[in-house]
Amino acid sequence: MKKRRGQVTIFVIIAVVIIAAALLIYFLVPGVNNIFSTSSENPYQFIQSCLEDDLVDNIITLSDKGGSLQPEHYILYNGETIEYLCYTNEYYRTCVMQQPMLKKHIEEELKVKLNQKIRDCFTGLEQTFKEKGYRTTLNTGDYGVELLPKRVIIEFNHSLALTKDDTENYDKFSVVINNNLYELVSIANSILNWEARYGDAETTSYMNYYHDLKVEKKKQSDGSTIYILTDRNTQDKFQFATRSVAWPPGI
Amino acid sequence: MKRVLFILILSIFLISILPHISSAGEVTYCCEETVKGAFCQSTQKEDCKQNVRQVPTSCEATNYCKLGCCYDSTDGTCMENTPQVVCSNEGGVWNGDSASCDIPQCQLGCCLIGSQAAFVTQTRCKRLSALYGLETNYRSDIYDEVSCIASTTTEEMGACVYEFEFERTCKMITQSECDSMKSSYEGVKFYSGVLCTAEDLGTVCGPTKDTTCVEGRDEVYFVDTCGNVANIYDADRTADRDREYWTKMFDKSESCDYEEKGGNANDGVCGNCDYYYGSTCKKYDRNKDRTNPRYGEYICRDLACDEEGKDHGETWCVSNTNNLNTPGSEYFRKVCYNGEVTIEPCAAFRSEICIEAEILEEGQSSGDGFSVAACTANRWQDCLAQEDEDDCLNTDKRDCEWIYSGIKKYNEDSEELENVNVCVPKYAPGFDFWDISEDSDSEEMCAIASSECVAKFERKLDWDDVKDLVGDPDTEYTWYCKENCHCCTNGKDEDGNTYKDCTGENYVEYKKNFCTALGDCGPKRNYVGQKGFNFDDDNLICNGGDCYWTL
Repeated sequence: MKKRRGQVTIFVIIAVVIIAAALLIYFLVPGVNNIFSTSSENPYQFIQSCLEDDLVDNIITLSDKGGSLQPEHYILYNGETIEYLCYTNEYYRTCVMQQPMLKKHIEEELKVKLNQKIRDCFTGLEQTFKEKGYRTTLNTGDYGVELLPKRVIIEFNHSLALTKDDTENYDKFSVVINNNLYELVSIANSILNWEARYGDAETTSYMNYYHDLKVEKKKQSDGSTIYILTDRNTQDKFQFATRSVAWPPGI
Repeated sequence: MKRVLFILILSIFLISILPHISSAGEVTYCCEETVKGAFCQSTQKEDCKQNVRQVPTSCEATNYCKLGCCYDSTDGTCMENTPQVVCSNEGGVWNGDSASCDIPQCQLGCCLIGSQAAFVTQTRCKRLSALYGLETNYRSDIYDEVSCIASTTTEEMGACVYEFEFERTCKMITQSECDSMKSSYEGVKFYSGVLCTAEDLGTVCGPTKDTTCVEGRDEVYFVDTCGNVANIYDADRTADRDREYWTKMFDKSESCDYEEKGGNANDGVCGNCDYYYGSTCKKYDRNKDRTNPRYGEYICRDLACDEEGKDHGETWCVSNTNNLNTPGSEYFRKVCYNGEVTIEPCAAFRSEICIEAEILEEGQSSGDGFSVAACTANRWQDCLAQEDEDDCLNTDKRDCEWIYSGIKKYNEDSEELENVNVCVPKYAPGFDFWDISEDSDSEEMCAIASSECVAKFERKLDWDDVKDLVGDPDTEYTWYCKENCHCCTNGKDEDGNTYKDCTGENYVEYKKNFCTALGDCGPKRNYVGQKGFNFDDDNLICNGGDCYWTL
């Protein structure tokens, strides 16, 4: 019994020593605390975590609505307003392109929508570090949203100087999220060109080329067509509407 | 001279205006933007947004809505049928020479990006290559997408051996990628077509029985201890059984069960999956895969749609009812891809129908083959204009049927009455018969089938006439048909008069067939079996030569 109690004591001592050593390493070895620091202690991570949820949410909203956060010319489908990207109000005629620079348009939409949030995030960043006793100098420049293969990125021309004992400079702020919107928009453009030329697009040809892509085509009674593009792996989705070579009831 | 010039200008103006006057006499305008937010639409003046350009002519005749090609000089994309104003507003480069983008900047070629390929413009190829951090490899001598994708043989892979942290290690990459490592590592050497696990290379990378899926490829692959992708998974060719399989790279065609029907789906020992045969590499899931892989965690997943009994890639036709071509009925195409069935409605009002064919392999019977379907236009519009049977049944031009109209015509040559046939839609189109506005032409269409046929009867003077003269109320006559007898039926009316010599027993049925074939006309039940509003085919009353439907 005495022997067992002695063993427990040894284990407790070892545990205390390990914890003490870990704490010493964390506080004394340079760089280690950066690895384990929370997002609020790293300016880059602060901006990433401050903005990524909003960026993701807006991308989802915008992807459901055909590339515009508030579509002006739309069709209502399953309670969602979906922008017409190629449209004609006439029967028998091919559609007229309404959004020829779709990728650029989406980038602009995101840029405008996130403007306030970006300002709030950088203000919050400054505030956080001021509370930690830093003197902060934030130079805000322009920023851009870009759809890239497999990701969406916001790059900032902002710079932040944090001064306490010495000065640390941060000038490569960016927010990156993984998303296949770039690929889906490229396929949407291809479908739109088919719609503009022939009034229809064959879904299976796209699924033959892109094995992880699901293309759904839902024709509506007014001659409109809803296309839903889904990445089967990531479930990223982009849907849009067209109206091309519509047939009237009767002649 | 001035007069001639004036007339010429006036003529040109009128020619451009005339086609834009609707049948109702309303002039249509080319609106730069409509109140609904659509750009460059031909519509009524009141539908145009205020303070935008609007001209009573076709959009093609305007400078702001003329269609052309919108070229994105940054991304190299080309969008067809784009109005000038839309393209310019969005920052694109507009070219009015070809609305279908048949311009040099939009000529497509094959862009090879690593092991991938894309059929794009040269500018887009440069952009894509830059995004992926690769050199531009653009081939303008490839003219179609299929050849482009087929050309992705790419640079041959091989073992790139190098020294890292005092170890001789290895990566499976291309020669150029290996060459680029020379600046960072010692002893870099490339061995084309050789695996990192080759014993001769003497690297730390060894064979395993682990497997993986590779992005952009369908097959299951072995991996080595360094994480490199080796040859296609074959449980009979592990390192202890076949050392050569771990020495050099084997082509897909040299691997297990190449082009096996079904693409080795659910095969626990062979990872030579094939998307076009209906399988692809996926992590084993006991709920989805019937067989455990003998080694590793990956298997060729069967992409068939079991619940529908269809293979991956099959498409087939369905309808929302068994009563085809009834009001409300529509055609649909079902698509089986990646084990999932999606439904694509054909255009509403049966303006599109679904057609289906079957590809049969040797020894297969009908129903077991690979089905292929498509929504296609229902070409019924000119059926009624066809007077000749051959023209009517010309399936290259139209979808019609040649049926008896219920009418007979006297043929002077044969001196006999002949059936008059008519050409009607094979797939009765749908109408918006509930729309009573002028926009709907359903009533006019259905009225084509309306006709009046007056049969003439005579009776001989007999004893009944005498009885009639003296005022016998129960006089019953016998009438004999003399004219248009094809549209009456023999029988008695409610006064007891008898009608004879009528030949139109099926006249009403023929007329009904003609009527219902025209579209959503006549006595029909809708797609869920509900009786029509005005007619009920169960209540057809024929009374002494006069037939009618009752409610």
